[in-house]
Amino acid sequence: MAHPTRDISAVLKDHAAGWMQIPGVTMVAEGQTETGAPCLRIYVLELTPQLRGRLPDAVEGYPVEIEESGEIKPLGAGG
Amino acid sequence: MKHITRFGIFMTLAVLLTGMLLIQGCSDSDVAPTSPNTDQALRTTGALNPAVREVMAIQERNTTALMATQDVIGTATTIDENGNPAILLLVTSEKAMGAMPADIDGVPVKILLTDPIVAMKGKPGGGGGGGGSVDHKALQTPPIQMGTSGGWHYDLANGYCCGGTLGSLIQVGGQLRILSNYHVFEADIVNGGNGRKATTGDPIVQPGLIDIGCNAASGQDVATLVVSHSIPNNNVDCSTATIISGMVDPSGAILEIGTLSSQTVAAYVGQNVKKSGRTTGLTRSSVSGLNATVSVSYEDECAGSTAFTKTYTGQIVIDNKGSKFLAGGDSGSLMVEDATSNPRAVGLLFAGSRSAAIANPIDEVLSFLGASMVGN
Repeated sequence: MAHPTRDISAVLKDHAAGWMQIPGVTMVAEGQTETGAPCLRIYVLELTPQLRGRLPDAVEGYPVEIEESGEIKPLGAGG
Repeated sequence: MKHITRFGIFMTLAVLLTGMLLIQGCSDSDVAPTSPNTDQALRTTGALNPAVREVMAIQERNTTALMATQDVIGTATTIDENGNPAILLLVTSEKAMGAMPADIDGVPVKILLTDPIVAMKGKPGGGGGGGGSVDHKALQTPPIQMGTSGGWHYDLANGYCCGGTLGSLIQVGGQLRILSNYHVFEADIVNGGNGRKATTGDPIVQPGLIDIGCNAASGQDVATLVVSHSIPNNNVDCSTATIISGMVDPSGAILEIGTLSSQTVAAYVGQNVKKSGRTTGLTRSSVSGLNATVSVSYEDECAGSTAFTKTYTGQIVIDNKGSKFLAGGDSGSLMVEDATSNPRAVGLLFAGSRSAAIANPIDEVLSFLGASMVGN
């Protein structure tokens, strides 16, 4: 994997809108791997092989982690 | 006798924490790192790993002496940022944090500032609180504390009633106001099922209608709404209500958190945070992501139709596996740093899923409102 040459925020900014257009993607963010390295994180409604195939493993030297989030919604209560 | 009992509790705690931390490492479902360091091996072999066993032995050898130090309440074996086994010390004061060694017998030390650990009582009848002893859904005797159930007095439509959390107290131009979310206080934007829209001057009720059988007469009005229309045109889901004199504790105290600092602090990945909310009460977690872009859909009234979908940028993501940190009804809760006294505000919680909670950065909320936190 290439060594990052740009700030992760700039990389995310350039790719966020495109990833958010992919059906099933719920959120994108900056995160850290378990070893503390900066990573890009893509949250998806449900991780299917088709969706996984559309998402990268790394971008500009930053690893991309995929996480199933389910539906993200406002958390008021109704009943 | 007292000392023996105390020591026994601490030793139990140490063993339990060791097990919990190692089990957590084994069961973490996040994408595995590709780094060649030893982290993954340690996590997958847990207490059977010789390196971990060696650190556990050092931890156990030193636990008695560590526990004799003021404000040290627990020890554990953990894994540090580099993937190496380390000793975790739980302390209840910043003074104790400063007094702890950087390593013990060559093993690196991690320090966690925490509240005192107490025996858990059963849930109160019908109450929130995450198993704690405080009922976050109950009618309070005024002046009320924040972190409690509340909402728009008329939030009843289409056969349902709605509500959320009265999260915290802020100051706007010398006026004390309750801070919550747009979608808790003022999301009714059509005449629809109840023949009215949320309007400035409308009462805010405690507890929220959902906790008093949808009958506002069973609650109490504690503030009056100030419509701010934060969304869809702005990047924050917030709304405020001016407190009614005598109905709200002017110190801004939050149930199970207490008073705050008037200062705020920016989020960072790994930051330990807590919140006090209507449904899950006092809960803790950590920040897992920053600068998030996320789209959230809103209804036009309680149990209404979709009004719009708002795409936020620059949001804070918090670990919410199993909705243990934040659940439906907790919207409006203030997220603060996990400090024992006068914690600083970090974010305004407003959305989430079964694995992630989302907060607006608090400085962006306060800037939009021209407000400051009420605190010390």
